[in-house]
Amino acid sequence: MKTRVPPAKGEGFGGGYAGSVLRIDLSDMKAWAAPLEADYARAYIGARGLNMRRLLDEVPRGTEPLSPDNKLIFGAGPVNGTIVPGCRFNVSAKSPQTGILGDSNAGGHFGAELKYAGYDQVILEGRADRPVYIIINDDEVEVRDAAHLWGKDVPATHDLIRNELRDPGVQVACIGPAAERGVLFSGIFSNIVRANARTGMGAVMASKNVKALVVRGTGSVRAHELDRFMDGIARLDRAIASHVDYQSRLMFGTTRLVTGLNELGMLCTKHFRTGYFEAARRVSGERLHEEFNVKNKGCFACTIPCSRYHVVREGPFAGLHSEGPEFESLAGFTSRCCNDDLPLALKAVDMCNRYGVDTITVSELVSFCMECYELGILSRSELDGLDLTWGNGPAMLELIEKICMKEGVGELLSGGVRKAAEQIGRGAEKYAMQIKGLEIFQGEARGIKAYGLGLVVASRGADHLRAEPFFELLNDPELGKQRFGVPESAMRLEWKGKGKVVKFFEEWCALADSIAMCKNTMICMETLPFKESAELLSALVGWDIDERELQTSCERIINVERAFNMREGMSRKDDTIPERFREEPLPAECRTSAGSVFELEPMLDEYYEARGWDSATGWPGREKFESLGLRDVADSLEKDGIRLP
Amino acid sequence: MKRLYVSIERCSGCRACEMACSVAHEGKFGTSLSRIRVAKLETSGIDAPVVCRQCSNAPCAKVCPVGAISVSQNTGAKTVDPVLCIGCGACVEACPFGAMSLHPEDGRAIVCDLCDGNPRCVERCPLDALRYEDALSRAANKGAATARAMSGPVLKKWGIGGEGR
Repeated sequence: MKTRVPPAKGEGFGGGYAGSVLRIDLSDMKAWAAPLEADYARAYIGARGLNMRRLLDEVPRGTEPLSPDNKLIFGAGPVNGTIVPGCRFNVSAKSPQTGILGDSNAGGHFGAELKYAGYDQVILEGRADRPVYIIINDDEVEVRDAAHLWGKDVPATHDLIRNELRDPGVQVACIGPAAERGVLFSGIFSNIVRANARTGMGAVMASKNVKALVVRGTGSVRAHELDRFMDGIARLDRAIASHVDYQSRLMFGTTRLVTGLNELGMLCTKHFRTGYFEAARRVSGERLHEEFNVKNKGCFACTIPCSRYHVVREGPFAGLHSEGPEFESLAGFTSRCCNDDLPLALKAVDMCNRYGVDTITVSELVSFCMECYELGILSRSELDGLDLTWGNGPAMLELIEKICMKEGVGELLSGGVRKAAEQIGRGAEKYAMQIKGLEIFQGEARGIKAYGLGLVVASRGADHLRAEPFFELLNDPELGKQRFGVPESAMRLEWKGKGKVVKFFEEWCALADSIAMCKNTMICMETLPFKESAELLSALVGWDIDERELQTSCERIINVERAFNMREGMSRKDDTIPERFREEPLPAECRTSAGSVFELEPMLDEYYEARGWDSATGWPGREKFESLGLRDVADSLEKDGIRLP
Repeated sequence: MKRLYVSIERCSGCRACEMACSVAHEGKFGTSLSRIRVAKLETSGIDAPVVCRQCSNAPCAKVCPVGAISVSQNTGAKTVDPVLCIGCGACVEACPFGAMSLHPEDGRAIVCDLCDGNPRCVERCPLDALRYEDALSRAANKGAATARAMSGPVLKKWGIGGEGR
């Protein structure tokens, strides 16, 4: 199919937005554009926010995630394609891995290109009757046969498509072999390693028989008031360049966290048995920088390009080269599994990127199997003969191969750790480090309690990027009292005040994900608070929007996400965390974090109170929905048989 | 005369230079509007900023059938006369580097004009991968680097170890 899509631009955008939503129905092989609704854009901002509202509207309760009824939504934000540093984009659908809200965010260059092609969102519906790939070239949409691409890994797919189209500048977002084989935690990969990794969006893409979405755009993005917008950019530039972390972020990116967290005794080690890894230095970002990195890599328009390109020059993995890894992947295949062989960990990350899976989930599966093997829950024969003792690197690589190819024990693990543990039984559930079906990251919830609370309440399951409440690391009680009324709110080992902290940071993260900017820069470096964001957006789009309105929009997004999950049966009982965090104190080697446990219930109470949600159910009531302009959502929930508190 | 020099070894491929160029010349943001463009070989991690190299015997100017391309007296940059240019694209084909392109909206040739001696891309690059330098001082710097690279054994012989900088 090849078709020209008549342009359809929404009104009321002076700049920023492309103003158009592209829909592609793969069952009927139709493509059409619709104007972006100005009221939706203002209420949900873009990217994640807008994707979430679409899912709530268009993917009804009980939709089977891998059926043609699910929708796969690619969303860019208003700042994508402008000079704002570090542009990102979101891919969302109902998740086949968790059965609830699915959403994933990646950097790179894809989001900007989507805007240049003229779209804020691309929605894939239905299912193609054979493997295809989709090419969006401005207003031309083509669906091509992908039989020759099926089975190819991520880098090969990128190269084949660019060669075939004779355009090295196209942006490719593709799935790897793992998604094709039905691995439920498979992702969508652009710029080779930029992964929309979490919640199995690759599996949804595969279920639609789509190997890749390719975009080429020759258009541009305007600012409504260019001078005012550029003034905002100049302020942002100064905030970034003068930041105390500027140099270390450039040198190490997120990998600096390996030693950073380890020193505080809160680096996920030995599958959360401890927060301290003796060999941390050997697998650190510092060592990567000294021995392996050759240069920086950056997302679109970034002025603090913190990604790195590495080359392994000697040893069994000589010749390995790739971009990354980030902290999560690095710690996942080192401390989490007790592996102290850095090049081997790089190999593990590279395998995940090539096959196209989420490294956090895979690192959980490997460390979960290691623990189950030690405890005798899984026997060597059940693990296909692999000797999964802690830190056995070669066995880890073999297991990763099986997981990605869904072969042998990989079949058992292909739905993620929750499903695997249920199937194994024998008490394995206790060791499945997941929340709502999504695996827990490499930070230690007992050592950073607001982060822990963030994981517990996150709308896509255990996830640190929904809140990223670094505030508690500031260790400044006076500031805690000032900002959140409670001194403990700024102290990582205390639980008090964290409900308010998480509420605030969830909203700030929703803002970052919805304008589609980098959280490392915007939030962790505190370079773009609500007030400055409102100013930048007003200049860009031509809205007269203030800090309060923007924060309300973000609160609305969080409530819409909760509504989606309420519909799928989620409530307070699901806002929980594995027993280990609640019952087992961190051991002595964790130094300042030693002895700490995670106080789930009081923190949850505080959080629901801060959110204005019912504490028995963990749900927003009608009043809350209506105060956010969501009467229609409350009505539709009631129509679905949900009795609002 | 100063020139724009690019370092493939330093470039992160972020394309901040493209945004700085596009907004400076067009008042809006688009990679297709930029006069500098980063070519990427993603499977080997290579990012190469491509921009006019200010050839003195410029193939673009020689091939232009209407004589629309001239050299700026001020900076030495190639200048396309928008009235004369017929948008035939001969210069795009003639440029050995891929530094010429056609404006996506009006079809006329566009090329780096060095922002009249204050290239915005250089200002924007966070990694010093772009430099605007005099050819002589560039050569002098490279010469000094060569001297450093070759000086080790001599310095050792003289007993002035560890300097070489």
